[in-house]
Amino acid sequence: MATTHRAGEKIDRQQILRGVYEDNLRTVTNQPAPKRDRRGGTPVPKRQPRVGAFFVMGLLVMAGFAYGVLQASQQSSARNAMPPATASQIVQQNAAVPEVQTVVRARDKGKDSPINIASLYGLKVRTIVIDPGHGGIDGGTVGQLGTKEKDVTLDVARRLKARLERNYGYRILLTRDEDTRVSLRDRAEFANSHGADLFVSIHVNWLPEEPVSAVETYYFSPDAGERELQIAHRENEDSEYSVAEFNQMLSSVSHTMKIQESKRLAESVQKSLYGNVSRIDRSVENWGVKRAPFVVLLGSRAPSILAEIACLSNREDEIKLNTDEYRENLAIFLEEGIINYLQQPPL
Amino acid sequence: MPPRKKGKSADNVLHIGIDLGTSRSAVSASNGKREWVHSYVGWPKDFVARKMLGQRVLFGEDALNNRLSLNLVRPLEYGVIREGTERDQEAVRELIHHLIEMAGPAEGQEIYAAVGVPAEALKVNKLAIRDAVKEYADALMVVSEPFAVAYGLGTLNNAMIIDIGAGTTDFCVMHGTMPGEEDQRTLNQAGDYIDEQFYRMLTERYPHAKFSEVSVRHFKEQHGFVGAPSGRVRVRVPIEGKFTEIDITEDLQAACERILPAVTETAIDLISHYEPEFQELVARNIFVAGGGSQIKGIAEALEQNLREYGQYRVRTVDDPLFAGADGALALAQDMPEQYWENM
Repeated sequence: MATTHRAGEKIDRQQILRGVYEDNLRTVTNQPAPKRDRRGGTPVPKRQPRVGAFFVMGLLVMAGFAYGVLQASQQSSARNAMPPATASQIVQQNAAVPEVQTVVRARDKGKDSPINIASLYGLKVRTIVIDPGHGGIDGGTVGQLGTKEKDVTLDVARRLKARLERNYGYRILLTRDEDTRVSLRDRAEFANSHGADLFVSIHVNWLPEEPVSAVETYYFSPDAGERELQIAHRENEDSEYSVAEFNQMLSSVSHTMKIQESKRLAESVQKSLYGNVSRIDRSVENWGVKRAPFVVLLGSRAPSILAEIACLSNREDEIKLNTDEYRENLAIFLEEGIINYLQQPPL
Repeated sequence: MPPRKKGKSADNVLHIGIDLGTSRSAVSASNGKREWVHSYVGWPKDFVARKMLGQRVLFGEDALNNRLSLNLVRPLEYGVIREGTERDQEAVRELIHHLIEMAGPAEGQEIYAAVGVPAEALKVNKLAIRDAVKEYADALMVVSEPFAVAYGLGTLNNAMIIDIGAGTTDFCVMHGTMPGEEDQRTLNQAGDYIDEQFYRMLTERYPHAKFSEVSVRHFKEQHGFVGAPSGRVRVRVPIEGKFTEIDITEDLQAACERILPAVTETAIDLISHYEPEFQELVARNIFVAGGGSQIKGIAEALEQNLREYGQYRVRTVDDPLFAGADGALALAQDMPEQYWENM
């Protein structure tokens, strides 16, 4: 074993050649390789019962969502719900932040512009808040082997933090750095009170009806499909926002820089996640960038995304998620997506 | 050409070392032949294409140049033969056959081949690779590419090989014995990853210019660098039908440098599992091999990154194109005769 190697050990070329021979002989005779300790592997936890994910409806989301729908138009469908006066409201609310006003006007003039508005106006990113989903009594989803979402998200978040600090020097904060329950409200307020420039929430998916692995990335929007709403209900359970607070937050979001930048960040992260994961697992599906009413994304003032980095209902995914290598890989892919977003060149 | 028949005489043996790479494959033989080919295999799409091309199967540059008429395969595209892809296995078989023929064995000569493959392929496709080669060789050993490089360099102890290929970057620590799984690491960040990043950056910066994966890879192979540029890199590309010179210096540098953090980190992580005295010795013997070693300044940049962890010395191998094949040949020639008997 490598760890027992002593410096200065005499090299025996014949021994090496014999090793090559024996290794090939094992292949020819279909014998397994000799057992060696693998360093750093995370032991697979014992099987635990899965916590039902869809029992409780997200009251706050429903209320906020219904409010948004009514406010937009009684005749329009929920998909088109967006208060028409929102852009001007945001300008008023953000009066102390002149860049945002300018950005809103720029956005109104050229929708779908390829320009990264943050870079166009020289806005700098210094602080990135990473949010490991769930924690404490809220274990999130649990795989068939007993792997808990809360453990995976925390580990990947720590790795991502270490990478971004070491490689790029950003100030990186975690909404939780231990196995504790933090409400969605506290997570968002943590980001706001620490001046987050970006907010990245990490989750692991559960797709009981479909034996697939998929990656997807969300940014906030009350305009969402049925499946996205279901996922939002599940993730919004601990929000602790009142209906009034939720509605106030909802009405302050529209075509702001936050939405535009959240979308771009989500696109970049999804591209990196899928592009890289599919190199490891060709069967993984690209479920793309989606909009959903996650309150944790709404509450944060910074561009915010929620990445579903793997799928615990998929057994192969769960096995991979129990290895250090794969968790580190996921952190690398998230890092790449964030950095690609931050380094998008202006025209 | 039909598969070569196995002969019984061991007096007349041609030893062959093959580096079966994702991007390029090379062969070195004991008769002095050294050849390489791009790892592309293409079959004519239909009767017309076959008649036009006049060949059953095309390889390397020939295959690339005629890609519109071919079903083109790069069999180890992701560093492994993908499961269930019979076409990939067939392509490996054809490629190996082609490489052996390039080595020019004499009629009736037995072939003892040592084949270096990406570390991940060795882990998951060992049997498939053996099956692909055994038709054309009388005896066969399969080893990991970085190990073959180390063997060829004679760095069998206190050394680390970082083999930056197209599909994967493979790390292998040599400590005087045959390296085990725990002495090796594989990263997905390698040449193809740089190409993807570079392509994305160029298409974003020059949305009206026309790039292809092949042209972007060509730019990288010709001009790739990390660290301070020695001059501006300008290339000609079609923009709205007209060939125009554009400056790709910053994007090329940024794309090439994207792999540095992961490579540095993996090297440190692997080394850190050994005893401190051994770590110091390995730190002074790091060799970068594979196509990625041809990126200008890569050894210096890695050494610079590693400096914060201690005194490291990083060098590139002298002949990256043939380092793996030459190493595999040396291994084949050193292998005692009795070991070949069951292979």
